[in-house]
Amino acid sequence: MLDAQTDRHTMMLSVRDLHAWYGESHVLHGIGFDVPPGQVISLTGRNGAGKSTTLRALIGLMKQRKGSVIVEGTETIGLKPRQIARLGMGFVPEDRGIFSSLSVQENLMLPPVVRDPILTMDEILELFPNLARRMGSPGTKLSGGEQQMLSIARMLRAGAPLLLLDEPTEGLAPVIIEQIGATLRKLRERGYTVVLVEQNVQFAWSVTDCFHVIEQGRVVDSLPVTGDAAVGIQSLKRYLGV
Amino acid sequence: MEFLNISAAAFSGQMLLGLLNGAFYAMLSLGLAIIFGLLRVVNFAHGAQYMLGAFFTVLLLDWYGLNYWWALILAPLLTGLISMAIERTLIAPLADADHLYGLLMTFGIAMVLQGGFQIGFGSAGVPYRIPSELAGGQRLSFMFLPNYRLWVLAASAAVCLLIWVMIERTRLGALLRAATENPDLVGAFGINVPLLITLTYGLGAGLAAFAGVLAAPIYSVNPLMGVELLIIAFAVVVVGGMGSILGSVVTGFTLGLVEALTKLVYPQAASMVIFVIMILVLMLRPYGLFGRQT
Repeated sequence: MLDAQTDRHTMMLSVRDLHAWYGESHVLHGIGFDVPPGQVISLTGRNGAGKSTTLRALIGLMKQRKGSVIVEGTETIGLKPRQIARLGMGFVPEDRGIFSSLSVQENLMLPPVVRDPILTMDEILELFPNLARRMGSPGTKLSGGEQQMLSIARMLRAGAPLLLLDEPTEGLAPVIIEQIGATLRKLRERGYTVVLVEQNVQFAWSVTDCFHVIEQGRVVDSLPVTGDAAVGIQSLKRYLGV
Repeated sequence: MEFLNISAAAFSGQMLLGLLNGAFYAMLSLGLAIIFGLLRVVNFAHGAQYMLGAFFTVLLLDWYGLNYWWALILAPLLTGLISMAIERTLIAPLADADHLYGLLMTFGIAMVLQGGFQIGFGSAGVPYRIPSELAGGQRLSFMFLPNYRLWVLAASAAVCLLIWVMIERTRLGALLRAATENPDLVGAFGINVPLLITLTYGLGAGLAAFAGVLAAPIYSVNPLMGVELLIIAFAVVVVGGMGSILGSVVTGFTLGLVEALTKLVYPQAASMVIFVIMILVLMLRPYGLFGRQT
């Protein structure tokens, strides 16, 4: 699946033979994939397959990990999460990571700016107009959809050109999911690179360039998004058992 | 004018004493709360850090001729720096272990510091004069109000307010609050959380030392001066809510007043009233009056 001739240093993110452990439990068994700049790739698979763990391992939150993770030419295995984040990787966790003791504005301004942001603050607030209206509210008073938007906006403001999004549509109403999808398409147009963990393949199909299917901590198939959507989604659903 | 056989002068005097004690409880428990919030370690060395502040006040004068006002700046700074070194070398390596190990480590540090000062300076108290600018007092119709006690109240209230503003209204404070909630995620944003922890420990210890400087002219400066105060400060933190900044300050002053009132009404119970309240709070609202249920 991986082209041995690929120059990994031209990739926004290049992962090879990534292993990770929770204590004694070996959960990632040699994950590998490449993400070219400006593309959205989706990691999909059943519950417990290792998708979220892969994102946590990429940002360095898995204390025990080995293999190779190159971000824009820099090897990050051995680096601490804060050092990896400074390379331009923005993590949006599954629980959205909104701090209850901070206002919306404080949540938004919390991460340090790691690069010149692609989007200005005005553009970010144009993308998420609800946030502009609720800057003074406590972060956790927002609706689920607004919290998701805040979590993404926070990383955009920090200037991270590579976003790791963990299940951004989980628990959200269809209309909000559509908004998130539209946002992701805009981000791709503006040159952001996104690694998306998503079980909702119907949603992911509309924003993704390539799917990687994960089973038991390894990539078992890669499907570029081409051709008939119905056929592609059907074959992905077979992997998910739905 | 009397009520329950208590004269206005006695009442006012006790209230002032209560506020004064409350000021020390508030400053000590504020430092403890800040440290507990981020490190999740109950800092048993806090009483020793308070004692360090008081001793530095005495030593700066004896060794370098630096007066009280210099001590007010230098003693918290020195204590903060020493405590940051202690955090880096002794407490941080235990960060991944059960928090009980951190607690035991700070207990050991307190014993060593107190023991070291007992060897060096003995157990008897060392006197320290009230600075001349703050000597004397105000003679009111019903009581005498010592200037130094007024200064302690004003200084402690100002410091508590400053710390509150720093934590609630600045970016550093926002980082601190966020790291208290989810240090891993804050680290994944590119923030140096271990450095934040070290600075926080230094700030908490510096606050204890500041209280120690204020205490030096009132209480006897001795190696064990922080022991009893620390136990009360722990009770204040529990009643206020572990890790709650506002809870520590409000509860510190309030319990100081409650203790003073008890001294007037039923003096035998004054030394235990704070702990009776702590037990009641633990039974009825274990996360404290200002704490949040997790």
